Amino acid sequence: MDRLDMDDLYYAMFLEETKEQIQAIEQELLILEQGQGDTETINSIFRMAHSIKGASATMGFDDMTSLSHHLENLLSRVRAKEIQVDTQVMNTFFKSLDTLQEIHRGIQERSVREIDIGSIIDEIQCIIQNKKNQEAQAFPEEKAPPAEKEIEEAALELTKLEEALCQEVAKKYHIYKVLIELDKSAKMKSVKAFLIVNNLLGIGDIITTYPPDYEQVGDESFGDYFTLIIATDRDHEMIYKNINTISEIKHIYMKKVQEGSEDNIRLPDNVRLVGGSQNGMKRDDHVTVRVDVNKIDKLMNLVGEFIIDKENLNQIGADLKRKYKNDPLVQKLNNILPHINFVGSELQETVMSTRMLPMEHIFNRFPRMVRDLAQRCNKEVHFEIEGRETEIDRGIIEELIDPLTHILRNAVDHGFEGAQERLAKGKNPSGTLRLSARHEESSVVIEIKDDGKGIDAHRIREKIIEKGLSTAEQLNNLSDAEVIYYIFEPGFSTAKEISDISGRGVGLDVVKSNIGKLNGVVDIKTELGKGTKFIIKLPLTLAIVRALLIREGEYIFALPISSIIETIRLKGNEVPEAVHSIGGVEVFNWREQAVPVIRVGEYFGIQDVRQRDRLFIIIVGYSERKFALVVDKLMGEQEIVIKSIGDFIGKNKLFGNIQGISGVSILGDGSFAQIIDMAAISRRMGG
Amino acid sequence: MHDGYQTPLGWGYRQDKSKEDKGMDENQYVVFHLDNEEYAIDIVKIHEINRLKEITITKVPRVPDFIEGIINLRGEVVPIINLRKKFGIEPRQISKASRIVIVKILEKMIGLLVDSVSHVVSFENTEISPPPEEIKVNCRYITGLGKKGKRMIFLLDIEKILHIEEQQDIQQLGA
Repeated sequence: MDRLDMDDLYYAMFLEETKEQIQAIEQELLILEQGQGDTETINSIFRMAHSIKGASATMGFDDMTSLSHHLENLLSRVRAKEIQVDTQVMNTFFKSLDTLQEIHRGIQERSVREIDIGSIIDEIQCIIQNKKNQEAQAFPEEKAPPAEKEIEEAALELTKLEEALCQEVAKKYHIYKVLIELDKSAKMKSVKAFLIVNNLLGIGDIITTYPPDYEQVGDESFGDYFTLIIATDRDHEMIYKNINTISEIKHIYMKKVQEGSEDNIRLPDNVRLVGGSQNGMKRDDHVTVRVDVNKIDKLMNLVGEFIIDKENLNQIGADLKRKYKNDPLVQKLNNILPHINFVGSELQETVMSTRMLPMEHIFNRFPRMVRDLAQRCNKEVHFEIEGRETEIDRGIIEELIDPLTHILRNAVDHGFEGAQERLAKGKNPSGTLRLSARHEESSVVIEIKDDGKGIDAHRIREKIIEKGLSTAEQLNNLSDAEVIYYIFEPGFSTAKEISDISGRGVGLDVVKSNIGKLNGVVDIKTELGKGTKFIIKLPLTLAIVRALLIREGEYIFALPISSIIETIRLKGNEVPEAVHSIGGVEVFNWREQAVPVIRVGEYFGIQDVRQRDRLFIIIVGYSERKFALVVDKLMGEQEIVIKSIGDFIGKNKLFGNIQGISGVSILGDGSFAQIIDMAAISRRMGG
Repeated sequence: MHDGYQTPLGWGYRQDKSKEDKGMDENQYVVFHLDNEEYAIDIVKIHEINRLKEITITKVPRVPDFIEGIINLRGEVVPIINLRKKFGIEPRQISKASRIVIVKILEKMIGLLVDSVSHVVSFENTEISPPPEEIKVNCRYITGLGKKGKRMIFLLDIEKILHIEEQQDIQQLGA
């Protein structure tokens, strides 16, 4: 990628994001230093360092990539508790951060001055090395890469295995085998390789690399050569230019091993598209304009404000009509209102649709990942994708990349048995992994299903205790289905050894944190020996939902319509008939089902001042469970704009660790409704 | 820090810096009242000051006692801290003089409910003395005492007020 050609938009976005992340890391480091940090602090720093690495690699800022790579290395040791955080380590952290900031400033000012990252990297290496010396060599030796000085034609011939891989690539692409010789003195060869691959992904698909796990290989065993096979519709000039943007490259050798043709697109054999268009790779011919995302976000916010005002206006219109029934001006107002409502909802829908992206934006990256992974794990996996055309808000889609990546990785790495084992169990030797997305009312449901060995709750229990995540007594109170959710806890891994495949495991905890952030829900269904299914349910959009407003004392609550099954009004004397107490738990008799009762007022600790002669019961569905919410008064349905208050909720945050509220919504009169968080309530009810 | 301030590529950074320096030399503080005492917050931390006339404070269930609720500030959700309750001073009805001082901390806006806001004051460095030992121990968010003639003004470190573990608080600030 040519730095001068860089799109200013991306450039600005990169700077903005990186700046935020550097600042956030600094805050977290401070917390860590004060000794208040927990594992979540380190996890969060790690995640941010990781995304700085990725972003800077994409933009081609090698210094930043290399430094954040090392920082990440150090962090992973700290997280694994191999390295204790002492003053020296903290100082190094801060120093690296300062250097990152300096690089950032340099980029921002577009200055060309050199920033020395060597010394700080040495310092990091020194800490890690000191640690390493104390223990046995942790990494297995890599096979030596080709050592011959002269590159022979033979080196560019495909091996049997590679040939087999290329067979699977669509015939319309050219395939090149590329051998890159790095400068002998080049440092950070693995990062260089990472950069090369990252850049090339912009123009084609990398089929394989040698060494395959180049990111993990240290300089000493890397050698000077890096080989890769790329499928692309560009010519060799482009590839050459692309690779040459990376510094310290001595030679690039290239051979075209397949001439691309315009034949029908054929997908790799192990990827099967179910439903949707078969040629998902083809671009649409619509005329499009590229717009700054911030503008769309602003537009969306304005629409949100407009919707609030619109609701307010409707209220005033209705009030006026009651008061001045025959006033012609009031009648005029009430004639205009329906049109405003219509324009409002059209506007909202249109703006929202500009933010919608089909799932294929992220789904497309997975087939290759799954294949590589399966190969490395020596497993046979059929990967199926369904519903790539399903659209969802772009804010949501971005947050989905990490969770889905980790669930899929986990499925391939830990979920499937080896072929032998599968045969022995009478299963098809190749496992089936299925990723699907579909709309369900106002939600998007994503499922990842494997037919592997399932999650062993017993092993999970052992692991929880071993890792000190909980005590045996506490676990005894949990059912198997509940215990399984511990796999989403930071620091949890059931693999006997941490394999390099699950990465350094910014693990499944990212699933919980990201999905939670999106107001989504994750469910796991697993059956030992049969397989596991992850079900992620997400709102279609983050911003606006239809909700039922509830009054309880002086508080107003909002409950998203999508989760409501039925509302029932009970008169005073009907209550004892319908609500029963079993073993201290109240249940409501709903269509011959005993549904647990939650008294909303009680739940939120609201003083009950009135003797009620009637009340309302709202039957709410949450994943497969149902609850009966008892509320004081219903105030009708309306569209609400969700505002997060997550910044203030949690341990040591301003509001403390309050549960049961997922956000607030501004009402027409400028006051708020509290949005009821069914996920939290369900958890508290033992779900 | 000038939050939300977009530095244009290139030279914005330096400009930002010089502003900061200027602020430090001048030592300007906004003075507000709680009970009979005067308190002051560094002016650069203050985003705006609002009357309560047009603001509805919505209560949030199950939050700590000193959280008065949340307000809607032009579409943004801003939590309100009742400083009287936070400092363990007997609460009192919101009056005409009551103000909400909006401060911006770590990119987040937070409102402080105070009895009244009077004026902006500049302190020379010689007019600021460290807080007496008793106060230092009990109440870490008092960073100094500003003196103007006979008047004494408690200088508050607003970030520290928000640290939750400080909930034990001082009971009264007898002068």
